[in-house]
Amino acid sequence: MTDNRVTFRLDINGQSRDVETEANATLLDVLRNELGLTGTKYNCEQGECGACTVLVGGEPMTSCIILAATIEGTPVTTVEGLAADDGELDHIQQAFVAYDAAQCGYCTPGMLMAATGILSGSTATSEDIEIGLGGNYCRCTGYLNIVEAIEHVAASACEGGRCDDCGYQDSSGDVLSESLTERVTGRLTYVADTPHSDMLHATFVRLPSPRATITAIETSVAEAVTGVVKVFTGADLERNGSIPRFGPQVADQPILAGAETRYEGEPVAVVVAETERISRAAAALVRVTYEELPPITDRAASLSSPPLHSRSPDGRNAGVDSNVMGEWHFEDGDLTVARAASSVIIEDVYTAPLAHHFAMEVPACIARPEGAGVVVETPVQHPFSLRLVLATMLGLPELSVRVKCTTIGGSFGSKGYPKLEPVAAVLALTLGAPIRIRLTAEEAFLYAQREASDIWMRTGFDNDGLVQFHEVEADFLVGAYTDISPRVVAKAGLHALTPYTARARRVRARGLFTSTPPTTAFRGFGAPHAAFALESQLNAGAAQLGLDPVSLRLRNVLGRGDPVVGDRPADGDWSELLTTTATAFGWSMPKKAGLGRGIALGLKSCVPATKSSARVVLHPDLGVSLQIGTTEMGQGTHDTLRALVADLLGLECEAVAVAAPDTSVVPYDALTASSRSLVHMGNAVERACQDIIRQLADLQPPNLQTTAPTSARDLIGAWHASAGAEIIGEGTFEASANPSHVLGGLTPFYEVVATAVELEVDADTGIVTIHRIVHTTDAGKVLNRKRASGLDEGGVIMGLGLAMSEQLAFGESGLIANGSSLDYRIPTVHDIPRMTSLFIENADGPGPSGSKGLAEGGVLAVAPAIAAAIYDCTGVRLTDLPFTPERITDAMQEVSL
Amino acid sequence: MVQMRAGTLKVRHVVDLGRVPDLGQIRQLSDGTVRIGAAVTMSQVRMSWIVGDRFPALAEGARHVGSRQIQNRATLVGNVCNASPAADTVPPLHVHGAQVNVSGPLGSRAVSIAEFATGPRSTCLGAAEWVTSIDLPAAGAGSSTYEKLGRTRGVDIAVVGVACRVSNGIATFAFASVAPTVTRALLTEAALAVTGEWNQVVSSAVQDDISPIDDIRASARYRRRVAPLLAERAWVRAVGRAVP
Repeated sequence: MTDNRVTFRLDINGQSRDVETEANATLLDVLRNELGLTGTKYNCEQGECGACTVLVGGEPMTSCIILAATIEGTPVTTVEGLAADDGELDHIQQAFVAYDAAQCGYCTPGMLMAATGILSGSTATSEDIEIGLGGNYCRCTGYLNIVEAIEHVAASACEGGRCDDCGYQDSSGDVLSESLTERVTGRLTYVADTPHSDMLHATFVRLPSPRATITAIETSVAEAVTGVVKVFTGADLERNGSIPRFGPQVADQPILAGAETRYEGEPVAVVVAETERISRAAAALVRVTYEELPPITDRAASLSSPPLHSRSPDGRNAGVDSNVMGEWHFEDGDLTVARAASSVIIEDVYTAPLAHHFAMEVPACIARPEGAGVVVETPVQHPFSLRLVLATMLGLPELSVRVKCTTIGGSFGSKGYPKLEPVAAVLALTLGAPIRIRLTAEEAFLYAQREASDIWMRTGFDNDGLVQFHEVEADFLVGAYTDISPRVVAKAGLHALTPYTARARRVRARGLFTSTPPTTAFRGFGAPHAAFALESQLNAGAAQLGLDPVSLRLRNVLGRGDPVVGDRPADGDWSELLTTTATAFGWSMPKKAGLGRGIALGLKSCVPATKSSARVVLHPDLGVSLQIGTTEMGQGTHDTLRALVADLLGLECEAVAVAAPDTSVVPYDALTASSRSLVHMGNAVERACQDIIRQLADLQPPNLQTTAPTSARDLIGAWHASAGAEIIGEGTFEASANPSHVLGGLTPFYEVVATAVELEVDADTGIVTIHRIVHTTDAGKVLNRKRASGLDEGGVIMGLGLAMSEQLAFGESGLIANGSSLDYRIPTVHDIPRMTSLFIENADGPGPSGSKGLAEGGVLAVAPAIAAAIYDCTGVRLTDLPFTPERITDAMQEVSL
Repeated sequence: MVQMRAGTLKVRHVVDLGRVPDLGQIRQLSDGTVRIGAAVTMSQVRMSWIVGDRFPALAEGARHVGSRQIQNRATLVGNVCNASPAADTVPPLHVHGAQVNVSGPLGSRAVSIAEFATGPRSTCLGAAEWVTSIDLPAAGAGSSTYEKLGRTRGVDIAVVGVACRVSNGIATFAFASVAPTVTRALLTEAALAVTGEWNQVVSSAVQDDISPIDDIRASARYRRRVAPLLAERAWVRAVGRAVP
């Protein structure tokens, strides 16, 4: 590394700061690494995503593409400089809190700086807001609350300071206000914000090849670089004669590739150095000799190619003789009879491409040796699952593996199961030093994907529109390793048809290995793919039968208590869901010429047979520590549960704090996924609070125990007066298991939604303008209304992206052609329609007060609703996701020929 | 900066010209020529009264370059020197007959914008040469527009971009993203001069002017499908603007 350092003085948030750094350091580097101002976040580091936006000379700019030395003397404002010196939030920060304009919080600092730029302009019209926010990605909120917050400040007569109009004054009683305040000030830290000067830094060496046999790895040049500690290949990290492998279901993924790589960019070596700058530079100096192997990127290639996996690490057979990872069959009823009763038969193939989660926080983790074991700090959704995988792989007792979950800057499934942690843990143990791995945004594309799918479906209707039968052959392309795919594929197969009745059904669902980055859970877990096929079949049937799509659905949708093949009977009023949506949307009202409308249902079952335990610690000063393994990634469960505890114990929300999930501190929780936490952990927390109340009642002097039932508040008041020690309440909720069930048990509840869309299509260019969306969730009971709406809005907008533009594409070479924020298009503020988010609440769920989980649902039914609306106004039926302008004009030309 | 991070551009030294006073200005010369300095940002271009009044296509093009954050940092000259076939400001410079002022060890020279880019990401700049400014001739600027189609409604690289200028009844066109460099559409211009209205003949001429390829953003077929439509939209708007 050449020594090319410069010194200069920056004016940051009104303070003069002397900086000595590398000449090519960006302003972002300097803010985060030299000045400790980690409120400014990073993602793409190429000026596309807006996460690192700061004000330079009062104008918003992306600090990742500014050489720090060039702005000497120009004032810079970061998120840390927004609030007043006494800590009072700026008006826009207050509005973000009041409007719940942040979820995971990772994009929030950049959003706030862009918003500040908009508000400092001469006007802040809706067009100004759209243009001013157009360069800031948010993957959680769907932008709607952010826009509202800015509109509020723009329109407000109040000139800064505390604002009564926006409700910020009242929001101090809002359970979300504390966590939102952390997010709008940039105080909330993510793992990459942890000071790291005492750590070693690891960077992967990856091949620009879709699949290869490695013949040699030459590490000496990289190892000769000053500051490089060591370069490891897979062989260097062998334990007990083989490269350690990991996986939540099957331990088939090696921490570094051995003799061959099975997907583009699979790590073949890792450079460990004293600084990240050095490890990244040296990684480019490792020379790998390899021979290309034929890529397997689609269904046909997977079925016709020799198997990707030649060994069966766990003695399993799937994927060894062929690329079929697993296959599931579900049959019910008499197909022959049902076929004979059908007058209209619809048959089609529906495809979805690989897609990327695009969580705004780029994956990173830290592993440190501790005692005889290792402690891992990582933004993981399921710390206990990670602990088990690491302990198994390392041959350590679970006690020696400690997982501390850091703030998760968005995940959507991508940070659920082990990814970087296994190699980080092995390196930390091998070197006896703390190891930090921080991926680039481009590497994140190689880290986790949503599976591609190819679903053939044949459906028979009778003349009344009653579904007689469905036949389904669903193939999911799961990538190079198993990860959690067996559950994704089996669940998608089991519930491919669920919200509706049918006289007979036959479903085959398969997972196919391909030489592409491993897929994993992604919001909806296979259900969006199935819903796209099923709902599109129903729409096609309705069109052919001349029936209204809503009434056709009402004829076929399951009623409460109706049996569901292979699972819990229908547990909600799904007809009400449809009619509520149709009514709010104005389905039966006339529409303007040129507009198209579509509606669809979506259903997802919840992970069965899992357990959650909670510990609630009541302190002598009446503060409460809520110790739970539920992780927080913007879904708001921590705040919802704080409010639940406060309510049950008769305290204020401010008195309840949630401990950061740490496997050596909090009791066991299976996972934070599948929208399960409100039901599972909610019940566990409720039981823990009841445990406290029971203990307090037992502590009552005998003369008081005889009086009428006492409120929790009275009991706590009495205890406080007489005692000094903690009271510890514990509670556990476990959904019953059934080992003979394909998924291990019945779903605890169904997550069901309806989405209606109105749009228009520019027939010349195929550009779609989505005007409005009405989305309804069967919530059972809403406990945290603001965030529940925010989750649904964000989910719908994510669904919109997956429907309209998101796809991972492969070039002729088999390499990913668009694995960066420049060419993988997620929705921006320009793409959002007007949206209404509704709930039906029949208190019929298994969670506290009859609630059901709801975080994933927004995404489920968007694609089929959009497809139906495009058909409605153009007459073309799209069966391949995403619905790009090109595909739409292609289809329209075909129809007009 | 983006290319330096990606490793596609390797440099030993970076010289920051951002504070050289003249380079950050949009000035009108005595002969009416408008000179845009090397450090003038996209935001300066899009907000400039004189650009918006005389060269509206350029203001529109600047508005399409990236996000507001990018426009506050990126320069017009940078966009030109990047020599991307998709550059949003370059078709407007073509239709307005811009001249690129180059300085280097052998002195200064002026290059027509049409000759500046020699291929994707390559220019006629010699070793140690740099662009000091861009001149836009004021005479007969007429009215102009820029139309762009991306993949989504938001910030995106152009799938097709087209600038149209109408001056004294004569229309000139230049396209982005349909050829190895931004390109003038001479056959389209000739056809339209004859027909005087947008019809099939003109659309066919567009097809002869362009040579699009398939890439990750769109296929050549789609580009051919939408290029005439966008050109027509640009022309209709420019004609509308020209009428007092």
